[in-house]
Amino acid sequence: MADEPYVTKTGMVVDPSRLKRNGETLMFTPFTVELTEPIGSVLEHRTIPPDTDLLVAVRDDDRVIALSRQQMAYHHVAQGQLDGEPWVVFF
Amino acid sequence: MAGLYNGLAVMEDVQTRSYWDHVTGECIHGPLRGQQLPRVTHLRYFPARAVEQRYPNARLALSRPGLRQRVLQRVVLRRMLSDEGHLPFMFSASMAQGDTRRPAMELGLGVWWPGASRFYPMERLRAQGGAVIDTLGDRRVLVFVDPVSHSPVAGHTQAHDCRWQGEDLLLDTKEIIRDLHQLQPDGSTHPLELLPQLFTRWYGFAATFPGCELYEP
Repeated sequence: MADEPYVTKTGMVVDPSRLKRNGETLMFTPFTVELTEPIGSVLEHRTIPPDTDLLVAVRDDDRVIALSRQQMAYHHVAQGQLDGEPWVVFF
Repeated sequence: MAGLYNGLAVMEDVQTRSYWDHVTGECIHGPLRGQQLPRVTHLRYFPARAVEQRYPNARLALSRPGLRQRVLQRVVLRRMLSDEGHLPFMFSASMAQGDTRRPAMELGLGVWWPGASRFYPMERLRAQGGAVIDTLGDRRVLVFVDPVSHSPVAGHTQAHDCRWQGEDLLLDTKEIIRDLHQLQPDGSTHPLELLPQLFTRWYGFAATFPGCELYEP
């Protein structure tokens, strides 16, 4: 693995010696999504309040994933599959 | 999520042990350094009720919080997500000297286009009535605070002027922006063409786009 600094296409200098990590332990626990529910059903059953802040990832009109902003501040990453296609959301 | 750099979390893919910038999708460290994720779209912010209205086919995923997650949500995460923000020590310790042109935790919309990147502080957008027309690189852009989500959005436009009428944004091209769609004078409608953008804090955008421009009214 190259240890010399790398300049990204946006001009950010990445100095590998400054990358902070926690050994081999992940710093944040990813959310592996196995189950989703239609947003209409969730609201109808009051699973979450209607003013809950959500993050929305739109692939197309029929492939839209919504995630709780507060939960994503904990996980930072959610990943799963939709129609057999893998996806990952980062926050 | 394996690491932190400049106060930002960094993704690692476990197959190649490469690190990826989540904003641009560029690999910044490891065997795939310099490569680009093929498709990066940016998250939109909405209250749940608005998601149901705008995206009736959306599906919600909720995790089952354990004790650690519940405690952190109560003690730390709410502060982190507040407008004022809060950066825990583990994040701030990874930061180099930041760009001091704006307060580190200020919220705003970062927008980029080949050859140009600009940060629109929320304070300045609100002072301009919540909508501005600007030029970024070779593109004319409309930046506005979406009345439904209360978060900022940047889209491509041909207009030179705009004004609010209720929750509609009227453009001098006779077009109307409503629900992130562009209504044409002939009655047709199409989704607003969004530019690459991120609703974020100043420190993160300035670190990712060093020397970025700041919106000046």
